[in-house]
Amino acid sequence: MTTDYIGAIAGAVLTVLTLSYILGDNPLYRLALHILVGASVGYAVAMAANAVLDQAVVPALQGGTAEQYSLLLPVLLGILLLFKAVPRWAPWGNVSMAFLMGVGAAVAIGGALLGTILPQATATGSMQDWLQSGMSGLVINALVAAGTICALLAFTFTTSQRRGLAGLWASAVRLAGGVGRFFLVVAFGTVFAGALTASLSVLIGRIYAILGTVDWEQLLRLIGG
Amino acid sequence: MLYCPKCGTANREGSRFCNVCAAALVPAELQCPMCGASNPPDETVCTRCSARLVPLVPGEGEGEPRAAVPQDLGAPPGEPAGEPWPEQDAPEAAAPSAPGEADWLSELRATVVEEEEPPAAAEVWQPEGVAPTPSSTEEQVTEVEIPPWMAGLEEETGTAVAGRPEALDWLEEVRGKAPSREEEQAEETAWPADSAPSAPGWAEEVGVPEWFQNLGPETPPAEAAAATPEQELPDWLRDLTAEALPPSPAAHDRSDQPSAPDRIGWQQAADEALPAPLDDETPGDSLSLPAADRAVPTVMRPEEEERETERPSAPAPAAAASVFAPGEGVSPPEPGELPDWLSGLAPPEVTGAPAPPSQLEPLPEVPAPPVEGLARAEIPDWLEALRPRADAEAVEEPAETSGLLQGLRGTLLASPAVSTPGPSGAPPAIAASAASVARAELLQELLSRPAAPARPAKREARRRVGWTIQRLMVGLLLIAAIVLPMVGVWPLGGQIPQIRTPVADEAVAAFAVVEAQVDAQSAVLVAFEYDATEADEMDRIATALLRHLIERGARIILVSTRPEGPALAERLTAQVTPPTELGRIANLGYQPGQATGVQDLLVNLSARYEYSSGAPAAGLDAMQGIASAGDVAAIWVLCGQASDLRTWVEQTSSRYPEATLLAGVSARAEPVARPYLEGTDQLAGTVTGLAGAAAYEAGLAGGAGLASFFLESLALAHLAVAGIIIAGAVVFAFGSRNR
Repeated sequence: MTTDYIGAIAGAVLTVLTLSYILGDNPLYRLALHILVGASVGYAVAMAANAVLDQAVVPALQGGTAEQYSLLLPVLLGILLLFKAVPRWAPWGNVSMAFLMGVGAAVAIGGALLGTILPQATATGSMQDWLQSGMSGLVINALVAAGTICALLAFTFTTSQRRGLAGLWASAVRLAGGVGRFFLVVAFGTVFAGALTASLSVLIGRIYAILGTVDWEQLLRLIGG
Repeated sequence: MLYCPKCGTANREGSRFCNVCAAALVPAELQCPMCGASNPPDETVCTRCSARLVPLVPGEGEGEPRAAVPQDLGAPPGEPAGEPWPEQDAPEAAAPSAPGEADWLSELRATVVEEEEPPAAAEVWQPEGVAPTPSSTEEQVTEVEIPPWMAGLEEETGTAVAGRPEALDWLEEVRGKAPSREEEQAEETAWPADSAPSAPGWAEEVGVPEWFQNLGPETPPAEAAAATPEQELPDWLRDLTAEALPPSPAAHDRSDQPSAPDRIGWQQAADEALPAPLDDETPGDSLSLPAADRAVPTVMRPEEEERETERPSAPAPAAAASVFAPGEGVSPPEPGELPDWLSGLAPPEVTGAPAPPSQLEPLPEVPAPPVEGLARAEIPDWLEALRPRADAEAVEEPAETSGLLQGLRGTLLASPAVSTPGPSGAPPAIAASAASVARAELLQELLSRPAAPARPAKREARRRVGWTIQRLMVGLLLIAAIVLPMVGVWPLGGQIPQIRTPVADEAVAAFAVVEAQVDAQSAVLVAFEYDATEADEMDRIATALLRHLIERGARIILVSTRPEGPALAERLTAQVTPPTELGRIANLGYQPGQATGVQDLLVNLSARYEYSSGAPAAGLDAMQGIASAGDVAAIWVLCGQASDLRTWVEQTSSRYPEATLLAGVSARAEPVARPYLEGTDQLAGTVTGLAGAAAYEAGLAGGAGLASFFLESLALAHLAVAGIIIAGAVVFAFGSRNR
């Protein structure tokens, strides 16, 4: 019996335990859930230790003098980060946390600005592109712009019941907010459809794995005597 | 307009609490005369000790309990204080005492009745008003044994207490000298408009010299007092008035007199100079009181108590007269026979000597009385809010019940001092809008609604079984839809993979990009950004892509920012790659750090280590000539979550905007990938879900794979889900409202 075969059987059993949630919450489902969480966390810790220690720290220490000195600061910051586990010494890890948060935020914000916000705004707001893309492109771009604005206005919560120009503006905001909510419903429906499709794809793969694990010819032979 | 009895703020009519200090504008509670407990205003009996809060008027109810008698009027010496009196029926007005009851008790009760009900009381004190009874009152009085302590009192005062007529004489004499409460009030309100009661008849009668009568400060004209009744004055103005107008000399004889620290100088001097009251020398406080109001039991109606407490500085000639009232053995001083202590209080013009500063302190100036005809000014709320209220926060601290401080009061604050508002920190009045009030009422209504009754256990169990059956049916229907194509049953004819969809077209376009840009000399960076829970979907895309890259002869560099990614990549490459081609694949393993890790991967691609062997990436065959992401022909990102796709697109676009980026995404992440594909062209192509994988597989030399095989099951499962949703909507629309 090979390791793959054992893994396939274990996977099939755990899949059945997970599917028992159809009958409601039960100990079998919880057992499979806890195994999944525990195995995932354990594997993640092992991978992180392997990636940092075995593949970064140890080879660098075994290398030349320049590599050893280059690791001095990261190792020091890493050691300081361990002090976070002890509340009394936790402030010593603030330097490492500040470094991590600062660098992470800078990278994430810079990427979001240059990779998403500016390109998306540029692609949506060019009137010349609208006109060059023809009527269909014009309509689509107008729908995108209107949907974005109206969806933002849908989150405007005002209770003012004024008269005059302010009341007219409040009515316009309410109307646009209603249209925005329609766009939000469509967006949520799309997301739900994608999630459903992904879940069904996973279910298909699991059922196929269960069916592939069983030797149907031998099973039918056993049943038929 | 209602004025706050605490701070004097003017409040609207109908208000129950003050806008500034939140004090009650209406009397809220009745204080029990026996135990001091607070009771609701509509209670007649104390909720703690069952003592009667409102004195029982004779004849008001036969079966009702007798009025409670305060302890100071209670049992005579020899009997325990507070011991209940003998049980008997409620006494009738002017009726003789019941058999067995002491006569002095009957007289006291009659006195109480008289004070509370003047007409009835008048009958009590008139001999002819006494109702005839089988045993006459005189007969009873003569037969009653006089207690020794009362006999001693008789000898001490020189009055006859043996018989009722005699006993009534001295009391009547007291009452004759001292006006009753009603007369006192009538006298207060009946003062002439142009003169204060500077020399009442009682003062002349008892021989008080005129300088002593005028010893107090200047009294405001009566018309001013009438124009601004004291009940309408706020406390802060009343305090000023109290300081300017000292209480009458006889105020020390009143039970509600202020404490020593509250008295002003001349009054304190007078108190110290006055001889000790006669009360200390008599055994029975109630019977030996010199003044008529001391002879009256202190059981009063709440409104009377309130009126008593609300007029600390009101002139009380009757009380003043009680100091020198005859009838208890103290004869009034004769004119010119003043003691030394009283002579010391005489003004300089009388005695000829300067008054000592300790006895005659300079009196503050009395504010000018308002001019008749002018209405009292309305003080705006904002100005009322600024008024200092030093006495507004006087909160009685509870006594300590345990520990070393047991029995002490006020040693520990009940609330932190920091939460105590300052003396001038009166909060401004909050004006609630009608909408806010409506919402508050709605919330109160919701909170006051009774809780929904719990469903019967049997019905709940049946409902639970119904839900389980529904879920089981849905699950079995989905499994059947998935399994049928796998066992050779093709309800949709097996033509689903041939259907052209936008997702399939995008996959075909991505296939074309790879065909155009990837050859045997190029390298492709593939990021495995999914875990085991998404592997059944993403593996189909990854398998198709790896097969294509191997067909193209390209070098493959595998990376991941997820811990499970390298293992999944290793397993797939082992499945689809011939052993002879494994040297063209470099699995660089897991890269922690999320966005930072992605950027580090892109920039320092060659500074990694191989996943399984741990060898430096720079020495691998697949990594020859590759230092960063800018050296690869294309970057494929296989993402199960939208956040991973966004991170890779952002970091790649910001760092290497010219790189060819393609994405194999789950159907869950497809809405996020589309703007990058259609709007900004940051993605050169996408392969989405099983449908995209099936379309991609169709272009491979090896033909269709599992993705195409699964597509029929996926389509059938979609139909099953659509049918379930429609059926559920119909049942919900036309079913019972209880659902």
